[in-house]
Amino acid sequence: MNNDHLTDDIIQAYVLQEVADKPIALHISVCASCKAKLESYRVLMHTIGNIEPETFSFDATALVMQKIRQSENRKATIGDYALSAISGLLILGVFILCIPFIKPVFQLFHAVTGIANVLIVVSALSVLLFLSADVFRQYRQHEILLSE
Amino acid sequence: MDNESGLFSDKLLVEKILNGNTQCFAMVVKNTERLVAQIVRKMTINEEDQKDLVQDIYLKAYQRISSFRFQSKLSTWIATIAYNTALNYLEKKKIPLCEIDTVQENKIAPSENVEKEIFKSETVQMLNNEINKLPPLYKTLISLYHLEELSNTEIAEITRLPEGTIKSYLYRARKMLKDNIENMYKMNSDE
Repeated sequence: MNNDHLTDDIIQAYVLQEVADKPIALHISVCASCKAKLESYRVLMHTIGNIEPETFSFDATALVMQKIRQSENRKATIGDYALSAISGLLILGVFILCIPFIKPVFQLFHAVTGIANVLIVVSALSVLLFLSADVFRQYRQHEILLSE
Repeated sequence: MDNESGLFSDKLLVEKILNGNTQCFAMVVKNTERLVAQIVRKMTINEEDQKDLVQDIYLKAYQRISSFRFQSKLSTWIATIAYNTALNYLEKKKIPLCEIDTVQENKIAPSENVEKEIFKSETVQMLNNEINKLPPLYKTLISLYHLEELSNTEIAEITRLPEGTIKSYLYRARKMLKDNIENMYKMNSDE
């Protein structure tokens, strides 16, 4: 009987073809104990391969996407608050800066005729409308690009 | 070639996700769910904890996707996040990662000839139960190697452990499985 048996690690490595030494093959061919171990590991690994991989008992995708939507909404809300605050401050700043010019502008409108005033207002509204339409068109184009 | 096409599709998916297409992220979740399940289900038992972990893992992946550098597959990157998140969970719960039950190992020295017959008579279910009794790290490694058929290199990327350590843990885990099943078989035949 051979007392220098192969270790379990070597036998496993041999089964997995990580080692392919001739002395190992030779030892296995003459040693009943190591041969039995080899067979055990071979069956063990084969049987593990037949186990059905575990899956979640819940719909992971739906759960994850719900969480992501919640997180996105929270982020968007914080962003909205920040944007509103900055816009508010900006408008307030512009208004404060404009206070000295309000009176002279009203005086200018009083000085010109009614038709001229109407023309000024219509022109200003037309420019505003044109700019708004352009901004909206660019926004839609970006939206289409991002969703592609 | 497969690896290249995998990286290409990963790049495409990541680009779309970064452009705000959340449906592409849902696709990533669907594609990697099984791999993540092998890690989360082997590291945790409680279903509520599993739900929390899965949400946590994918939320981290979604928030950090801009830092993904395509140095590995996207699935490997997500599996790394899953492994680290599960590891933190075990630490918080003070559950040992690879505590070895030496009592089982020293029980009975199996005789030479019974070994061959033992595993043939065991069912897949019994082996599955035995795998679930292993320490969390060992059963995760067994699942990743044998069920997900990942290489030692890929497992090393996920766990950040040296390849040699993974090999050694896998040898130990298989030996524990073999010994536990042999002992169980012996005890059943003695009764």
